[in-house]
Formats: sequence, structure tokens, C-alpha cells
Amino acid sequence: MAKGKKVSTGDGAALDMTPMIDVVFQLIIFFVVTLKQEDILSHLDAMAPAPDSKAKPEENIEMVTIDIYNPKTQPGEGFLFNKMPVRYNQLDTEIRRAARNNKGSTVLLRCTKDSPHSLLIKALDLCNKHGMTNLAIFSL
Amino acid sequence: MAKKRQKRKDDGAALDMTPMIDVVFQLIIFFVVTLKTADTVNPDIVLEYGKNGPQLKADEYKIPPLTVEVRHYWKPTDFLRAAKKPTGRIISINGGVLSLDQLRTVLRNTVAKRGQNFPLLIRADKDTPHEDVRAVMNACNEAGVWRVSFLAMVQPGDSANAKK
Repeated sequence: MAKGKKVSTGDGAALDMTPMIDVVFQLIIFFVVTLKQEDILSHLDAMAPAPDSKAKPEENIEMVTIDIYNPKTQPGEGFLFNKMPVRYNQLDTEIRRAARNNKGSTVLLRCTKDSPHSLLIKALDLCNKHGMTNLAIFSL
Repeated sequence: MAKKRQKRKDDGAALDMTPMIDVVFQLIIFFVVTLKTADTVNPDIVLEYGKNGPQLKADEYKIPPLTVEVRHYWKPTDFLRAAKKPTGRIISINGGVLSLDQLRTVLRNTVAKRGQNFPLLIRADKDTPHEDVRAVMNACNEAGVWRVSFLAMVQPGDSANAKK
């Protein structure tokens, strides 16, 4: 009588998953512990491109003046738009209006020595927001 | 007849080192890939939010930018103590504190080496008075560096900005 063929149970080929699972957990813990989220930064141009002697400067008569001062020494939020004291929201509106009239207008940002850098950044950010790129920063 | 007792071999207790070696290689590769030198920035600088500016991307510049940090200190901090500097205006590049004259020299040397077209990023603390930032801008002007931008925060990560 022919012997019945034994069906392989597959035990011999069984893969021990325990070390793999251990390692996966180790890696998960490592990633969780070492994960560090990077700051997302933006850059606001402070100076105009290098002067090109061949290019003729555009004659742009329109000019907007934003004065920036230290709000701790004078009343207000630290902004004057065309010499009128304005709040941050009003400055946003005024710059939007100026941009609607002419985006190519020169924005003159005049900062007092003691004005905090944050106000200059806020003003530059609003200029960027409304597409005013013709900027000049002066110190008073 | 009594069966001969077989001597037990030690093979059953042998530790299979293969997965362990695999994992060690995985870890080595991971560390090599993710190894990043310690951030050398002034940790005391908190940036103002500027969400409307173009986002800074690592591959944005063809020429790597130079970042100059400036902060005004009214009180000493660990960074200032480590730098052994008195309170006041502190200018630094890659965490190394410089005087204004040293900054001028660095800028002159950089211009001599890389030309005037390299981008310079000013990472100034939000409370820094404008005159301190102006001092850095003037140094840039003197050296002929014209691609100057201010860094601002779009979204904080796990840095000092997020904590403050």
C-alpha cells in the first residue's frame, strides 16, 4: 500500500515576527521622541535690486509715506500713514487703497531709531500683501 | 533494550543574529541620513509674524544665503553669558557673536569670495530697536551687499518662537 503523502504544516518556514515588531516599536518611539517641527519662515525684501547703470530709473511721482515709531514713547500703535496716525487695521486699508491706485508707487518707510523691528516687519508684510514692491527704508 | 539517551545539542538555543544585524544597519542608515549638525542660531531671537512674504525654501537660492542675527539684550540670558558679552546690541552669524567691525570684515571677505550677488538674510528679534537693525543694513551697504531681506515667521515649529 502506497504511503499517504504528508501535507506540510509549514511550521518549519514560520517567520518569527517578534524581533521585527520590537524593532518597529523602537523606531516608532525614536521618531516620536526626535521629531522636531521646523519653523516656516518668510523673507521680506529690504533693499532694492542692484542698481543697473543701463536701466533708466522709472519716474514715479506717487509716493506713500509710512512712519514707524515706538508706541511706548508716543500715543498710538506706532504707525503714521502719510503723517496721519493709524492703527494696524487702518494701515492695512490705506495700503490696499494705495495699491489699488498704483501698485508701482514708492512706499517710503521711515523708522525712528527706537522703533521696534516688529512694526517694520508688519508694515513690510502689509506692503507684500497688497503687492507694493517699490519700497525704501529710511532711518530718522 | 534501553534506548540510548541522545546527547542534547546546543543548536536549539543558538541566537539568530540576522534580524538584529538588519536592524543595526537600518539604524545606522537612518542616523547617517538624518544627521544634522546642531543648530547654530541665537535661541533668544523671536521673529515677528509676516505671513504675506514669500516663503523661505531651502532650494530657493542658487547661492546659499548668509544669515546675520541681531538682537538687543536688556537682560543677560544663557546665550549672552556663554558669549561673555555685556547687554546691548548683539550681532551673530551661525551663533558666533561679532562686533560691528568684525561683521564689516566678514561681509567684505564674503563679497571678495562670492561676489555681491549672494543673498543676506537679517534675522532680527521683534523687539530689537531699529537702530540696531540699521547698523547691520549699513554694514551691508558699505560692503556692497544689496540682496538683503528680513526673516519673518509664517508658522512656528518647536523653536523658541513657539515657546514664547
